[in-house]
Amino acid sequence: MPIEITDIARLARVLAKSGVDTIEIEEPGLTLKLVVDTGARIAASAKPAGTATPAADHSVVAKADVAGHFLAAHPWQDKPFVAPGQRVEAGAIVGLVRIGLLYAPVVAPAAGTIDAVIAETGTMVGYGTPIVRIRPHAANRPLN
Amino acid sequence: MFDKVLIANRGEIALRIQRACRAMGLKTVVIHSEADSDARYVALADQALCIGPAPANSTYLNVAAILLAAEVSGAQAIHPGYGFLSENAEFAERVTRAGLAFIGPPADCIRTMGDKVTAKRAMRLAGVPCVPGPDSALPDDPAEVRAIARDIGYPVIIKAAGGGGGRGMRIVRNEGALDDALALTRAEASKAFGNAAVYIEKFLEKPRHIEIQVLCDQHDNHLWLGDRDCSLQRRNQKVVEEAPAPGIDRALIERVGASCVEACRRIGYRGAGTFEFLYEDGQFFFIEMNTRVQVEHPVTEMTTGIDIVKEQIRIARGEPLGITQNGIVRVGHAVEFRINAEDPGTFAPSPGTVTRWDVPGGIGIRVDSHITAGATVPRHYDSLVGKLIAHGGTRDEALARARVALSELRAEGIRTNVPLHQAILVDPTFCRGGYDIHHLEHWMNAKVAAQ
Repeated sequence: MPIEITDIARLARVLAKSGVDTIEIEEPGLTLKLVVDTGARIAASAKPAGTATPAADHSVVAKADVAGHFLAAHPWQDKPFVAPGQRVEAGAIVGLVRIGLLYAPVVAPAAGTIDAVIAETGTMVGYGTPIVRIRPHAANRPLN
Repeated sequence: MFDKVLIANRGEIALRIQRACRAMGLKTVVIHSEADSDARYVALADQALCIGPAPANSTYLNVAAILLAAEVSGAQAIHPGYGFLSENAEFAERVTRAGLAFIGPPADCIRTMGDKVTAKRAMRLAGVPCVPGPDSALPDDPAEVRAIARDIGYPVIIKAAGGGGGRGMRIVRNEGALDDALALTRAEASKAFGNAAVYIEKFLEKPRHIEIQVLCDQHDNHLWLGDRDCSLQRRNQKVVEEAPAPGIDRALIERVGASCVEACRRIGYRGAGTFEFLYEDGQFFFIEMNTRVQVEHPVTEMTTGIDIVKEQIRIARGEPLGITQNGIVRVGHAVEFRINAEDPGTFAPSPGTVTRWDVPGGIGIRVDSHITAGATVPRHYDSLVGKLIAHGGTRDEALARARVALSELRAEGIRTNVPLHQAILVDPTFCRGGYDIHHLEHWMNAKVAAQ
């Protein structure tokens, strides 16, 4: 029996609710693996606001690498991936680009604190469109 | 029936396609690389999507990225232009499988005509005159090949079945040189085109390059619009093209045109296409078919009044051609000069920012160009920045208008080959017309020797 998209969505919600982070289903000719991002790569607490803002030229920008519609939050979640003031690790998902049935992640190029989410949910973005501005942590500042 | 077209190309042809779409009331989606973000047709598009960095492999040759952009934008048809993916049967197939209209011929026609051996066989069956030589790949045994070559008569040319544009071919003037040439061309063909098949033909010493434009719909209407002479070439790249070809018996061209139409009917061709021929001593010899719109299509448009790109789109929409063969009237003479961003002496590419771009005009002058003052010519792509087309009641009138137009054209910030065109326009052989495909190189060598 084929697995429908709606089954996958339902399974994913069950996993997220129950705290299970991985499930694998194998049937003849079909393998389904679901991994729930438990947020391990995203630090939980925001840095206190009001600290000195570094010069703008030190900031790094997470850019879309494919053309599509930008989503600040996962379609099954209300909460956006990131918000200003939040700390992120390099490689953390900061948003999604939707292309039909596909979702491509936009990832942080360096660890740091989110300065601003530049792109607006639902808008069309292209390769290289700035999505999120990040103030990198001093030690992780990318070399120019 | 589609009303939104994705243009999978760049430069002047992207603008040309966009103009046709807009005049038909169709919406346009432009995909582009980061290097082309500031282009005029990007700003004029209903939707523009940057799909990757400058290299063509990441963008204009990236099938997956183009199909995803079509999905995102809601485009229902893709126009491939010329070059890039325009003659890629696999691309045409994937576009169709994605439920989109490919503005071009069916994939199997592209495949048949893309292989020179199968193309030649199809043409022979339709009665199209071909260059003497078998319409099959050469056997492995060199002794058999020697017999075939002797039969054709030297000089002969060995060509890769998957080659084209002057690549993968070798001239053999006597039997002693045949074995080595055969082995070398086979090795090159397998390396460059992934297809070791080679074939052999009579080599023509001083041919002209003459081609026939066709247009076919899905309702069994097949037309040939006219002939073009594209003999002014440098390293197999066309420099100047004109319509009609001067000094050739019109009754002969009518017969060749009719045979091209017959070939289209037999292979189930659809869309715009061009049959390329070599012409020598009053005879035509088929060399290849281009299953797409060509750079030089405007000279045929100027003499027939038919908008070839618009017809391509109408055909893809399933509409019947509104023209009959007898209704095609060819008026006057048209000449196209390809304007390249290159050094007029060394031909080295000259990319950069165009600081001034004054375009000529007046009666009989057409300029197809995506350039404006402030535009950049990226170094990543070919150097064509525009085409100047001059039309007149006679060839002499067209050339006179071209001289004035070229003197008005001002391009600064980049170097262009305009001075080369101006020198060509005072060459008596060019002005007389009817020169062979080696004329430009011989003329340039003579000029260098004289200095």
